[in-house]
Amino acid sequence: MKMGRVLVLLGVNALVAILSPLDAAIVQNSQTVTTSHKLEDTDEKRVSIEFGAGRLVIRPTDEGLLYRLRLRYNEDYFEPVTDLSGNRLHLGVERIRKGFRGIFNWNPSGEGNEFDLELTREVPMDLHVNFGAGSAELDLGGLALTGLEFNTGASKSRIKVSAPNSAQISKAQFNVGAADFQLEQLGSLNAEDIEINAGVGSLEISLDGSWQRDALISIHMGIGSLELHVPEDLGFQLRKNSFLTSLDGVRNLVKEGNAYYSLNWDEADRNVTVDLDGALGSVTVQLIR
Amino acid sequence: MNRSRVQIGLFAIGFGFLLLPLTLPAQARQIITKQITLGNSVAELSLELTGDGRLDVTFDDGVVQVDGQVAGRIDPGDRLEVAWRLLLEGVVTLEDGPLAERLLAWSAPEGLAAEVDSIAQEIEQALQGALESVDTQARTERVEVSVSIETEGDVVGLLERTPEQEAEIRNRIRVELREEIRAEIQEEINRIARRGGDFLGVGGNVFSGLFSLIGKLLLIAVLGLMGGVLVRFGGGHVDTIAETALRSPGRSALVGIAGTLLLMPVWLLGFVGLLISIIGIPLAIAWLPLFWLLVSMAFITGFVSVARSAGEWVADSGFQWTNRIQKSNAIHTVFVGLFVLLLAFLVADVISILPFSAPLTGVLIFTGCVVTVAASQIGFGAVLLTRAGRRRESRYTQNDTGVADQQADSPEGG
Repeated sequence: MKMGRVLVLLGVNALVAILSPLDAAIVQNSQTVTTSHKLEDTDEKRVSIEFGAGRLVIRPTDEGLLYRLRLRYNEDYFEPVTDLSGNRLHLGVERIRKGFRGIFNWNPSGEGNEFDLELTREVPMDLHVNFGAGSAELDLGGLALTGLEFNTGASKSRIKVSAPNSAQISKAQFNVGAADFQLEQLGSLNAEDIEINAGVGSLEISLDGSWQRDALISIHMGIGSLELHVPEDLGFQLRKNSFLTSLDGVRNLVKEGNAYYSLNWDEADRNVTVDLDGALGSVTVQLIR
Repeated sequence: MNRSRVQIGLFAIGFGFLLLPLTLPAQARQIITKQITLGNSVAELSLELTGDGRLDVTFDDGVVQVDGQVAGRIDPGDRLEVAWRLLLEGVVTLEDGPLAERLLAWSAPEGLAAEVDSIAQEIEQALQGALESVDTQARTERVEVSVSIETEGDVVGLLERTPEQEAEIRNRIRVELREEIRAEIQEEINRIARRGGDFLGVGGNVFSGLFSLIGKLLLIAVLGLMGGVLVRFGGGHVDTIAETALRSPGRSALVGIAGTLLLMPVWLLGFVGLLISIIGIPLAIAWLPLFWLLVSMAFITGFVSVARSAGEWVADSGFQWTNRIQKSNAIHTVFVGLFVLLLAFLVADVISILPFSAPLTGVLIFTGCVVTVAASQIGFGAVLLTRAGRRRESRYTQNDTGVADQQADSPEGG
């Protein structure tokens, strides 16, 4: 597990958490940028998104735009980046001044930094999201994703795939530091190999959605709880290789060595294997209809 | 495809390029990129249009710029600025034709001062100039681009190279800038590290690191000996605690944390409770130190038990070097487990001897703290759950059909 990376994220985010009240106490110089780009072609794009702290929203759009971004940030400390060069699209904010002020940019009415992005469903894209701290709400439903990497430090993140991915992902990766992390309708992501690295926190993963192929999900967990929601009609296997981790809800699974199988493993249309490598915490498996 | 068809195709493309300047002005323009910036002092509209068209109108702290040229100055908050801001707020969600229509329909407020009015006129002219050829009926909709050029050789490559080169240059500039900034940051870090190194002295680092390392090794030795005594005289109890910590770590940790939080209230309430009963007064005096002695013993017992589980886990891990660990020897596994649990601290001490190692040492110490606190809480919780190893709390069994089941300790198993 990339525990070093996770620990560095944790350290940074602890610092952010300690200093955030300072951030709220000062007068902020908020600026809002709304930028959009017309959809000119359907060539595959590598989309990288970088956002330090605040509220991150990503959702699909059908308005004939490549993207539309509404960004609120502290203009004294950050500047927006909207760069489309060839087939690379880079959206985000870059720090232009040192110091911890302005990280969250909260104003007296409770509004802070915000990154609200709409992405086209028309263009195949390899999506990379780097998000520091705050809350993230991603709906990747119907986007044509050929790759996905989501990195977050300390956040409450919810990612759902409300409609099937029209492209195929060979490997999707989620790196989470200290977070309350939810993944919904993971089947619709159409990914063959999914890797989740989590440091501290709670993970809730719903294996619903439309699975178009068998998949392997590798979960590397430090300290925390993991809830797996498994549809009854999905062939499911849990391979547990963990040190101090308790396991609940495996009554309806068949155990063979370190692995637990659903009763329909041999007959199911689609089979999903979860490889769990955890240090400390609890795992709950829940069958859903 | 034969060569003559290629030549005809190329000729047609060339002829098309010749006619392009004549046809472009007559074609409706499209808005490719729209950017609206609204801040305390800034209200900016920036448009990119087909055919390299651009429009930039900026109000920045009283300075009004049109396409990069200063059009004039106004008082911040002037009626013109207010009207401009209202316009921008109204077109944030519009694209293409409707956006152009709304911008073209804008007019500055009446009755402005002469200087301000001339600025307003310049803005209106700029909007007209940039947007009059935009098809205001055009709606942004799905764009399907399908280009297929049948030809041979490098002709397509030649046609496509220009934008690619442009993109490459932009990328290269970006990469170079990043590298430059990284180099500056690295230099700054090195400078700070050098300053830190001079302050402490390399020799100081070596000695403090070595002393700390020796201290940790002594701690392992002491804890290991205590573990040995515990295993020797209370082997069954330690086994039960270790098993509970291994089987129900989450539950043990929660109980450990709850127990830790309750230590102070229990200590005080116990003292007060003993005081109010006349017979308990002598006991109350003994209670004050005895309570913490018992708590310390519970923590040490729990930690040693977790260390034992960790040692057994290492023995089972299957690495070549773990063959030497005698799993049957509990004292052996306790020592190995203590090394594992305190490994991050030991490595931190060794690394701290090296110069510029402060960040890595910090991360290792943080890791060590997390592991130690987690192990202590789990161990303490397991001691509480098992009543110091006197009650077996956790047991997993497997029924005849191979269905995994939990008993006694599991929330489901009740």
